[in-house]
Amino acid sequence: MIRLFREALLNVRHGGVVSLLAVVIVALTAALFSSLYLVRNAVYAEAAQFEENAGAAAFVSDELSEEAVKQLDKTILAMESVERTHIVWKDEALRRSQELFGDDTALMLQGFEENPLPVAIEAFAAEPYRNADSMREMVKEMKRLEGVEDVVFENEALEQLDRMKRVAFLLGGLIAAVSMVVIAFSIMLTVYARREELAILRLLGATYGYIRIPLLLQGFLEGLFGSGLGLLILYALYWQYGASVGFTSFLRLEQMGIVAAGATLVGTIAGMAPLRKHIRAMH
Amino acid sequence: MHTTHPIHNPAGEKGAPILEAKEATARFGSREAVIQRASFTIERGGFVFLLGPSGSGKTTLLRLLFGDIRPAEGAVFYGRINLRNMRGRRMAHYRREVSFIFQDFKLLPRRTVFENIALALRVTGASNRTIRQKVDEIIPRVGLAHRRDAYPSEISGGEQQRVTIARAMVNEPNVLLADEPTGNLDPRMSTEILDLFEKFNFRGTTVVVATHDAAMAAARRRRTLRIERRRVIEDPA
Repeated sequence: MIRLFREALLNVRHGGVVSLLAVVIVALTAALFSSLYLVRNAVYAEAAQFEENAGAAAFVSDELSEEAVKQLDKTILAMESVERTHIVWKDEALRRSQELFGDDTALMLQGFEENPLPVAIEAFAAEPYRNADSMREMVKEMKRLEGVEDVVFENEALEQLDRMKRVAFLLGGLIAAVSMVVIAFSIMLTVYARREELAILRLLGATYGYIRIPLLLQGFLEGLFGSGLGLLILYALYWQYGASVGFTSFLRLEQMGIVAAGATLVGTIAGMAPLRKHIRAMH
Repeated sequence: MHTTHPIHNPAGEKGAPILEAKEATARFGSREAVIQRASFTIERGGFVFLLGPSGSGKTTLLRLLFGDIRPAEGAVFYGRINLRNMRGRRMAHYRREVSFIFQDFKLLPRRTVFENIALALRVTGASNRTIRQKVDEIIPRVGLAHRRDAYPSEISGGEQQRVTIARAMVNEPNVLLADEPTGNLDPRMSTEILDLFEKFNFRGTTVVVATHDAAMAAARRRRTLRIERRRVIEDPA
C-alpha cells in the first residue's frame, strides 16, 4: 500500500503542470462550492427563525363550546404536520387587535354588542413541513375538520423562502456538476499526458493493477489536496473579510468533511473514467 | 518482495525450444498478411539474427513473439504455452521473462537513467534495496556509470540505446528481443552493442536481433532467419 501511495505521489510529481492545474482547479471549485455552502448556512439561519413560526390559523365557529374548541385543538395537534398549537380565545384576539390597530380597534368594533372576533387555533408546522406546499396540504386538512370555518396562513413569505432555497440548491448542484466535469477533464488530461508512460509500463510487464491503482490514488490525492487547499483559501478569506460581510460562523466540521469527501470522491471517480480506454487494450 | 512469478520454465536444458512459431500469420485488419505462415524454433541459449530490409515485417514478427499482437492464423509458443492463451497477469509476467528492446528506445524523458532502468524492476514489485543493488550492478556493465543520474535528453543516442538494453536485462529475462538495436548507431557503437548482447547470451539469455544489416549479421556468424516476401526462411549461410 505504501508503494502504491508512493507511486501515486510520484505520478502527481511527474504530472508536473497538469497535476498542479488539477489540484488548483479542485481547490478553486471546492472553495467556490464551500462559499456557496457558507451563504446557504447564512440564508438558512435567517430562514430558520421565520420558519419556526410558520403556521396557520384556523377560525372556529362561534357555536362551538369551550370544550369542543379544546377537543378540536387536540385533533389539530394530532396531525403529523403540526408540531404545536395555541388557542387564541376571544379576549386574546381582542388584545392582539388592539396591539395591532391601536385606537382604530374601537372604530372597527363599533356597533357590536359583544366581542365579535372569532376564536382561532394557531397550528405551527413541524420541521419537515415548513414549506409552502406542505403548509397548503396542512391547511386543506384543517379546513376539512368540523367546526373550522376558515384557515389562513402566510403563503407569500413561505413561497418566497422556498424559491430562495430552490435557487440555492440549483446553484449548488450546478457548481458541483461543473466541478465534477472540470476535475474529470483535468485528470483525463493527466492520464493523456502520461499515455506513453503507461504503454511503456505495460511493455515492461506491469500488471493492470500496477497501472490502475496509482492512477486512482492520484485522482484521490488530487481531490484531497485540492479540497484541503480550497477550504484553506476560503478560511483565509473568511478570517479576513467574513465579519465585514455579515458571516458569523465558518462551515461546520461535518460540512468541511462533506466538501473534502465530495472532492476526493469526484477525483477518484474522475480518475477511473480515462483508465478504461487507456488500459483495457493493454492486455 | 521481488515477485518475478515465472509463468513457465521452458525446458531447462540449453538447446530446448524456448520460442516457436507454427504456421503463424500476422495480418492487420483485412489487409494482406505482413508475415505469412512462419514456422521456426528458437532454442534456449541461442543467438539468432532476424534479417530483412526495412518494411519486410521484422518488427511485426518480433511483436508476434512478444505477444503484443496475436497471429491471425497459426500459433506462437513460449515453451509449451500458446501465447494466444496468455492474458492479463500471465501476459504481464511473460513480458518480465521475455524483454523487448525498442527501435525508438521508449525511455521516459522525465526520469533519470537510473529511474528508467529501475522501472523494469518496479513493475515486478521488487524492493528498493533490490532495485538499487541490481540497477547499480548493471549500469557499469553497459558502460553508463558516469551517466547514472542524467536524463535521456542529456545523453547520446548510443547511450540511450544502452539504457534500453540495461532496462531490458536488469531483471534477467530468459529471452531478449531486440528491434534494430544498432539502426541509429555508428559502426563502432554497433559493434559495442552487439558485443554486449553476446555477453548476455554467454550468461544464458536467448537473444533475437532484428536487423537490416546483412553484413553485420554475417560477420557474427550466428544463426540467421531471413524474411523474404512475407515468409520466414532459414538462411543457409
